[in-house]
Amino acid sequence: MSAWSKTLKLITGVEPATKVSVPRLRKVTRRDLIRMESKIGATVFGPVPANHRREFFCLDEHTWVWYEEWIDEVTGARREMTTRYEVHPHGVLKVQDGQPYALVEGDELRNLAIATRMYREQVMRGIYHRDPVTGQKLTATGTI
Amino acid sequence: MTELAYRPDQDLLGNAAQERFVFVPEGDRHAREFEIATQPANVVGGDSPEVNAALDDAYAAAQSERGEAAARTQEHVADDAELAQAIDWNAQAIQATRQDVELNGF
Repeated sequence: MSAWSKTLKLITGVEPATKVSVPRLRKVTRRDLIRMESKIGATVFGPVPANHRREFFCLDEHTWVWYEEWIDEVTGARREMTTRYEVHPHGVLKVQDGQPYALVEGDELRNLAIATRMYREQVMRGIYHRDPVTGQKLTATGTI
Repeated sequence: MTELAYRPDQDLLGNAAQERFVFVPEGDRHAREFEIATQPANVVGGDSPEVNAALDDAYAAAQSERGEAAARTQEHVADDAELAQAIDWNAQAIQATRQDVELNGF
């Protein structure tokens, strides 16, 4: 136990959390956060196939984005597809490159709901160290 | 003027092919035929408790099926609306946390 931890324990009477966050040198931006989240988001649909790059992230309060990039095995050309899911009062709309808006229903809607739930669970815990339900900060012993 | 008609079809109670003789008023034959077709065999005009009961049952069943179908549709819509709402809640929770982190850090 470091001198700092001993002093803290002496003052507060509580063992300090063992994991100390490293202070950041620059202010974190929303883009940074989305990039970090997307690394987790890419895994919620299962393993990413070889030669694929996947991004899945929450863009804002009502929009989710799924980006997939891969090499076409036949032509060797790089392909990509961006799907945007927009939540509207009457349902979820899917927008893809060059495609008309489509209402998301059935299994696709259920899978999307599960994916966003997993995203929230994993991002809240893994990146923000928060309880996914309450949003409260997590400590070594539980929420504060 | 009426005429005597022979209707060998099955009645609503499921009694097959009983002979039935009904009086059909001339000039209103088609309408009367439909009405008569809902009467049990060997009943000329008028109501019958059995037929009324059968009609009530058939009506109740149709209403029930229609109600169930409507409920299923409603349920489907409700399910989809709930899923959309859940997706939105997840996004809002993330967004709120981001804002907090942007302001206050991790």
